Amino acid sequence: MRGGLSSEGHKGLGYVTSLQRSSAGPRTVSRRSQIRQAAASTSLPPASLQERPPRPLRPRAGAYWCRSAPFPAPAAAMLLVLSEAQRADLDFLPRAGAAAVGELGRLAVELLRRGAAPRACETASRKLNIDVDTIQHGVEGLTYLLTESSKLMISETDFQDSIHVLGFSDELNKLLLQLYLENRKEIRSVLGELAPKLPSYHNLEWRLDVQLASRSLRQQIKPAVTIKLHLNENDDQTAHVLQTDPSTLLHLIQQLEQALGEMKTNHCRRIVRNMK
Amino acid sequence: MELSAYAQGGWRLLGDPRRFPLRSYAALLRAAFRSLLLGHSQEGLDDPDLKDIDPMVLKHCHGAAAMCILEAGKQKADISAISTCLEDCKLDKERIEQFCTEYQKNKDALEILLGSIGRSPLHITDVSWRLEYQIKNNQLHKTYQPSYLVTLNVENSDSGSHPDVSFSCTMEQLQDLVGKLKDAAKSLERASQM
Repeated sequence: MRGGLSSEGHKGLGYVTSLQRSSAGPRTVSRRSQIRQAAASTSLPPASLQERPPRPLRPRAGAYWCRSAPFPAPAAAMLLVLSEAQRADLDFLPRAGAAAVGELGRLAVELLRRGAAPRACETASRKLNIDVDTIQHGVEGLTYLLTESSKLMISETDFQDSIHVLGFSDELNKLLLQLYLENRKEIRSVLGELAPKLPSYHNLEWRLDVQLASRSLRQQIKPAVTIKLHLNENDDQTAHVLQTDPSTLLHLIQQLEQALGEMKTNHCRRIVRNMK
Repeated sequence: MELSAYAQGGWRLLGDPRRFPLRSYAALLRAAFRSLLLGHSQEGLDDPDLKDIDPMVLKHCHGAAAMCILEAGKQKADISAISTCLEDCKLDKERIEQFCTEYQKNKDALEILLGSIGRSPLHITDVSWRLEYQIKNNQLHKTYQPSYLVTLNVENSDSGSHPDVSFSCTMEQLQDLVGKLKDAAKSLERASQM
């Protein structure tokens, strides 16, 4: 066992586990037991291992970890917890075969895009020769798996570890992982749309005017900037027509530039760096 | 500068020394300017110098004076135009001069008042902003992006209400907004140099 780790062993547990992962092969032990095994195989005392995070901490180039960082180092593992019912929903997948899983995956993604489609489930049921209820539960189970993992943005390895409890074959696990990785971006954008939102900026148009006269006052020279502000409000676009004078316009620019500059301050950069 | 027949009639009464001694004339001019600029229509009409004058005449003359002031302000009439107009109403030189002095004194305030009348789009007076870093919501974790909440303080010249406009934007959107406002400011600067 020790030979496999060789010189990497002393660098800490993190590398051990990542090395073992990259070497692939059938994984029959959970990550926890892997960690325990690895711990036993190194000469380091277990206590010191516990202090280390289970995965290597590789800060981005140029980033540094402050001692006084207000936030702890990123959590090591984030595993999905599937309920009994959810596991039961997915139970039939190994029997159904790769083609059927692919079809169900497509249905699950479609469900997230466009909402429930009972007719598509019926068609799939005829095509795959599986009863509708099973198909529907399977799609729901997959949908849950995909949304929850996308919501939490769990890593590739965490996803693998999460579905490991289902006891599927490696091939099926790979298929599910692929399904997750291929659709994660789109599912996150779908979920992003559900988030509570304020009216948001869409566009701004402007026009320069000089008021020359009015009913109550002739011979004026009054410069004005007319602004049409387009906002997105609850999926609708609204427009506000506003006006301002030159000195207020300069003041607005100055204030908003300060707002943009604030993001570059040490304070904001530190928070952003440590949140990731 | 032209006055209506009613106003000219009023000014003829104002030019008559038997009806309006000089002191009363001066008091009425002051009252007319004050009622326009302060927005109280009866302002100054209880002046002791005016108490001997027939209320009907007083009302007529007060209206005529106000019309003349507003017309002069609206046209930005110069002294000679005002003088010609008042000479037509048989006013003597002293009274005309007195009116012109009072007019010069209040000209700027009058122009601001007249300029503020009329409809215009909501006027932006100020902006406030707030910067936040979005971390997660109930639908999505690890969102990690900065977001600005911008409030434009807006004033409605007609009703004096303040229907502020608030919206959120990402950093890129705020950059877009500021870029466009800068374009506008640059164009404004160029236009002012022409």
